[in-house]
Amino acid sequence: MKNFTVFDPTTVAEAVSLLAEHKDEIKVLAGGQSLLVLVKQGLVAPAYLLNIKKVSELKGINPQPDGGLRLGALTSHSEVLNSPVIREKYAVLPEMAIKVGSVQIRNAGTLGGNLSHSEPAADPPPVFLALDARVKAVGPNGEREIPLSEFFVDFYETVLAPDELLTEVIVPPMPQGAKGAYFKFARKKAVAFAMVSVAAIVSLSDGKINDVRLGLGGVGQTPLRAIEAEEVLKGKPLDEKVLAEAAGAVMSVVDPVSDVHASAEYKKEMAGVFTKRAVREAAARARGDR
Amino acid sequence: MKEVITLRVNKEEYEILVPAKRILVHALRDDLDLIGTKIGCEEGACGTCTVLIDGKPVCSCLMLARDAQGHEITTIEGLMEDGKLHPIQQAFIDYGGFQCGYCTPGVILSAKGLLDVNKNPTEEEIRLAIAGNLCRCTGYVKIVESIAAAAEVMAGKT
Repeated sequence: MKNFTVFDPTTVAEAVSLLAEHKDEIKVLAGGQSLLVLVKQGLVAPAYLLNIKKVSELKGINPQPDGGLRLGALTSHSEVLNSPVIREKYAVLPEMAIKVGSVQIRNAGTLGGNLSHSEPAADPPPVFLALDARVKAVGPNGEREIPLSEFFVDFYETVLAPDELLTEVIVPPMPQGAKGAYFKFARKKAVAFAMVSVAAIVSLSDGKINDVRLGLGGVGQTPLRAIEAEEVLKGKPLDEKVLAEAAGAVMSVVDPVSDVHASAEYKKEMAGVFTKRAVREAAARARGDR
Repeated sequence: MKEVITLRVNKEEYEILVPAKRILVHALRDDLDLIGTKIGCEEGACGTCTVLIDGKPVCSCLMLARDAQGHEITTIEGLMEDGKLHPIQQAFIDYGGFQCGYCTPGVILSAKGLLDVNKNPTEEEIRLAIAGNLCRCTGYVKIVESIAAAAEVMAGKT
């Protein structure tokens, strides 16, 4: 492994100016659970690492006056799992967080790092997509908010510019009466990426689906929001016919790749199956059945 | 370019001169001669290099040594007290919680991470706590029994 120089900024401004100065030669180091693997394997060989763990502005789980939530980029998966505030308002987040890697990885890995790494089969993206989250990015020319649905570009690529730092994940309030569910299909219960994963947020009104949002992981080059399937479900009573239609809509937009775990065809089929399961479960929770 | 870093391991301070790229597990084993911590996959998937950082299990293969500064690092060598094995270590002996022993230091530190915050874990909680530790001898039943027995000892039940 090639040696590198590490910077330890203590403010976002300092961090961003170092990014701007070294652009393509520098990588951001947060929890290191993805980056250090790539560095050790020689897949990336940065001359500089920007260690952001001393930037206190990037820490904290902050409930907002509008009922939403702001999560600092350095929030660990364990913090998401154990936060009483998150558990109370967004139970689907700990339901997801416990499926990330292992205890060791959850203790070290961060939300900002996970999202910026843009691994299409990671657990957080589908859930934050279904929660309609945004991320805040700070660059030399100021800050911007990016809807997560526009954030992922390709395998390990996001819309972040080389001199931009993801500083915060912004989660809007849950829709009135909505509940979420997250289903992950993998070969193992731990240290496994999803073959397919589906997050559903569902609210009901008069026995019909009022609002629904679907996030999917593992089914293509990026995690995705399944808008077409959401449109199929909205305003309909939840029955097997409409679930099958939604599953069909999901299967027509996903584009998984074959790998050692499963064929693309199988993953596509499972994307439909797990969409049905996630929507059914979120709806049952919204009804108060469980 | 090398830098002097200070690591606090098992309540003792060490100053070492290392390049920035030095990974924690290599600093522990090669610079500090604490070879109880084992090296496995080197990518966070096997858990055999697990150490406690401020009481929490992490993979020491995915942390720069310099980033462990300012934190309390606990390795398997730090578990004995007053010449006596830690109750988890003793339970692994009493209940046959290992075969080849290679994963054992990591598993025991994961178990300590659990039992320090959860005095009375269910079997499911024990299995979840060690889900990041691979035992290639596949002796998980005895490992789970050992941890459950250690929990009882640590809670003063036996």
